[in-house]
Amino acid sequence: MSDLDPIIATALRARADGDVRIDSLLEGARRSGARHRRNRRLAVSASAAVVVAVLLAAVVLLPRQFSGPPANTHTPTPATTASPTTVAPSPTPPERPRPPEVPGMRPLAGGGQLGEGRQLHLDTADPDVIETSWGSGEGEEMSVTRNPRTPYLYEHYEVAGRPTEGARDAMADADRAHREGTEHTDDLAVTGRPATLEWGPDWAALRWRPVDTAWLYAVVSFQEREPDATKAAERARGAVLEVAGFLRLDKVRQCAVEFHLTWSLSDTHLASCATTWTATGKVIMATAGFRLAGGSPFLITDTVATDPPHVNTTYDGKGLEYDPTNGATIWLDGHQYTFERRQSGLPEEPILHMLTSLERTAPTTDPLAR
Amino acid sequence: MISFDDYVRLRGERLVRLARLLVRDRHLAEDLVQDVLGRAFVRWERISRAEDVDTYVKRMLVNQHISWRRKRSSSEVAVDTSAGHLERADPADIGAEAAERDAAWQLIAELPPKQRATLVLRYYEDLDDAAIGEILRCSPVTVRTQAMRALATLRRRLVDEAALTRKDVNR
Repeated sequence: MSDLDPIIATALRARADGDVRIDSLLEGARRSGARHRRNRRLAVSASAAVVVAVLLAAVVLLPRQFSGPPANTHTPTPATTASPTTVAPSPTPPERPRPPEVPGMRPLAGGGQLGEGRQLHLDTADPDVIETSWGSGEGEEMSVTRNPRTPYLYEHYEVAGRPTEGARDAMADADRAHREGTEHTDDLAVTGRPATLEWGPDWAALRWRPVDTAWLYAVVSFQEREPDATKAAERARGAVLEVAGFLRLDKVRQCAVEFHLTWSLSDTHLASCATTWTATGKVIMATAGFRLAGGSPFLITDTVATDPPHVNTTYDGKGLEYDPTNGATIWLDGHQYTFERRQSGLPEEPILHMLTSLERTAPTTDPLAR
Repeated sequence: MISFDDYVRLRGERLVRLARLLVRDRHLAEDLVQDVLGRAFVRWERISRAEDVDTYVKRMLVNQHISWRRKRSSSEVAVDTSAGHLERADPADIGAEAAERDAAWQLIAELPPKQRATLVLRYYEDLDDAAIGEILRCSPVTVRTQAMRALATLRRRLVDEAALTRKDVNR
């Protein structure tokens, strides 16, 4: 034991001290879990607001593979070697409900930009989708929950895009930091472009650039761990190529929420949007992410109310639940609207004022529009 | 298998205290724990079957902390506005022991994240090098190296601090 040991131990104990509100922590964790499950990572990201660069004047044409569906179905099979592998897109997306197209906006396939107008540029032709979440802001993300199908048996994948390689890698590295297991990498080719495959015992990820304006990261979560290294590598390669084959970049779809704020702080602007749809077309969650002038974010999420209201305060004659740690919730017409304070540090008054000014509307892309 | 709610009720407080030492800002520490528990919640069925759930969650916490540091600007991560941070403690006012404690904390907080995590896990969580290696995903040898470097830095800086304090007192 060194002379420093007691000094360090005492300093740490003193620093860690202080009350912890467990109920609030549990509630916040569950909320965070729901958020992760529905993959609104873009909307909840606390990183600095980034407006997608609009300076790329040249229209970049998409490689032919993405310009339309091929005539024949292509089902990738697991590769058996570590040599580069290619993938072709899957057939036309099945006719299932999804957000409406935005006329007049260029898709990624036509030189459009990720996050442009906070609309949605990523889509999937996966026939086994159960639920899809899209998010658009600093970049874009799409999260898919699906019925797993042999041979790869994965029930969830995410595709995230950023306008630069650095931003994509920062996001991918952060994602990987909480994934378990020894990581491996391999080189692939996806639609003729170089790609990097990474995998662990229960996940696989792909980094590539399918069009010049988008650097993508796709990550697949498997149901079971694969202890055999060779089989794990084959499964990883097959699954990410299948996901890459499902990907569609030829449409721009609308990210909308069904509420607007009749009052907000004067320096508030819309920074991101996210929406979650079931395969049958039910919208189960929609989130608008806002930023104040200094860049501090906060969110308002609309979900169908599943629990009875827990009103503990009133503002302007309206009942709400206020939670000093996380924010506030208000209930309207069978929906609940949760204001998440995040790093904005907003005090109680403007939170309650904004939330009680909320009104239900037809789908809108700008909940701050007066 | 422990349920998610039971785990949070049982271990949540300890996780927040651990996070306060990793993140420094107390509000961000709670955010970090919520974020990590949220990720754990999604995969709880699998995590709760792990041999050592606590080690698993602590590993998520430390990793997520390191990734937060990568992603965020220094102002979001490193600034602690609570009392005592950055200001040098005045021995005349609060006593030599408290001054030493504050100075030690200040210096620990300035260590690189992995070195700081190593010290926190060793001196606060009271874990041995093998257990720390499990959390940081490195060998016990690497843990010892990280700890040695951290302690050498602390020792050197504490000596400098003491010299500065003596100078001030003699002035």
